[in-house]
Amino acid sequence: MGAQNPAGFASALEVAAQVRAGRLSATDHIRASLANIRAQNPAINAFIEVTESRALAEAAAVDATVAEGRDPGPLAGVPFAVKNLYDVAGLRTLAGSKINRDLPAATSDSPLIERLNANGAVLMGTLNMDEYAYGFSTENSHYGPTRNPHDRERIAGGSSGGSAAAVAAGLVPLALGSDTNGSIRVPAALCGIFGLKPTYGRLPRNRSFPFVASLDHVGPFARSTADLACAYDAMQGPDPADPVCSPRPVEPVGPALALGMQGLRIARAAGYFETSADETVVAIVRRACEQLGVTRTVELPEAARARAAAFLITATEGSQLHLPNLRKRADDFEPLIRDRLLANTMLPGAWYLQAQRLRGWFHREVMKLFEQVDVILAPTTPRTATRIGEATMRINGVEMLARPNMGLLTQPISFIGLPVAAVPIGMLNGLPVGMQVICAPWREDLCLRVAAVLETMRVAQCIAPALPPPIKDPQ
Amino acid sequence: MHSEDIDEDFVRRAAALLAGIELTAAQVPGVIENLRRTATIAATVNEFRLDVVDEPGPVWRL
Repeated sequence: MGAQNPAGFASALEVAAQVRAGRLSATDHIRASLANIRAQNPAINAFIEVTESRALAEAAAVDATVAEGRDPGPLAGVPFAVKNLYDVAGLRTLAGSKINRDLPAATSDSPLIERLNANGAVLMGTLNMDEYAYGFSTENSHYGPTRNPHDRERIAGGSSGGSAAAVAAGLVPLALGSDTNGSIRVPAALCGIFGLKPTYGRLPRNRSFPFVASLDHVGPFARSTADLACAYDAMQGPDPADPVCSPRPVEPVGPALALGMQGLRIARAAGYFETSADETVVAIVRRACEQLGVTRTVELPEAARARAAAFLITATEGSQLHLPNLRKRADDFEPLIRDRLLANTMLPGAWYLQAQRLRGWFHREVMKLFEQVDVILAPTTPRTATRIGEATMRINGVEMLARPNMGLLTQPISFIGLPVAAVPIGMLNGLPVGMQVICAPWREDLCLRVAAVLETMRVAQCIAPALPPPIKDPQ
Repeated sequence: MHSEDIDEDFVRRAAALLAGIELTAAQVPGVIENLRRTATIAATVNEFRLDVVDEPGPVWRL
């Protein structure tokens, strides 16, 4: 018997429940999902490599576990895919680059892949991204742009654009991305799905290709908060191999989803977060807040300067990481970032340290706000997805570069490592609009709790894009 | 660094001296444009007065 929804749009939990109960063969479901990827991926260019034989082997192992009467885990038979900066044993970790094709293949999986596998999930392949995660658009000159499933002439957002597009298009119900300045939240918003950027240091980043050590986070995408929470819970836990990964024990968020918002103090971010977004986007966020009964506003002090400091830290650490290759083979870098990386190699150390000191100051000031409120809501992006190739955009009458500024509203938050759930809260001219649910460090439970309330109220929901019909599960 | 001071000669010499990079002619205009933009952004960070006790991140206790 197949899942009730077509292979691509079945929820992760729905698939796992049926596999665990023996009503759905993991192998059959994975075969259908592979066929769906083959049929749909050319239209959006989310997958770079499909790990078909591995997926079938993992699915067979899940089926064998069920046949033996053992529980394969809460994500049994659930297909997932990863941004191609995660190590996958036997594959080169491309990180969206041409240069990394010269590296040897990874010898083991990233710990997040290991943990998802251990919970029964099945790896389907690796996904497109901005080169070395330096971008918000996934316009990758080496591998082609990833296209937004809601309008294939538009960007999917980035840098985890392949991850968001794959989930939005129904190719997989779960995907992993990374977020240094907004690279989970921006594509989640532009593709109309849920994403979680956990607290800095919550999930281990080892065996993933780094970008900016001070700001790098990893996290999941899904089409529902329940799926997102299940994947997140499966991946939690310390890992001493990542020096910033916290030794905190697993703090499951699944049970929090049903708690509602009683007792929570929620505010809307005003000031910078409204003046930096198009008024049409702000109106949708305000409407969502009204539906939640949120009337209070807060202002994050010096948010524009915080964003500027995140920009400097990114520029300095990101270019220093690539300095050897910039010296030897600069022209092999993505043309859209080559000159930026080259310029960034010359930035004074004093700028970097001032930015890091401002980070400490900003963190302290924002933590004072969390003495007054538990949750802050803000737009995720200044506008909806731009057209592929569009270099500039206009926000409230101000012309600006599109690619670096799509993260205007996400950068101040990841700058101090706060956990954020990205939720899809509406459509504007057929394109998704997203909202950030921001909480104090280590309170992912509150982020997802509010996201679940929004979803229950149908304020937040994923709208399936109008792609060719996906292939159905075998019956 | 004032953004108006950044010209081709400056950029070529700075890249060689500070980063060990020999810029090509094709790279120079984009590097100048990016340095000017970053200098403008840096100015907003650098003008902010911090106290001597404001230490660099990491910024929260586990």
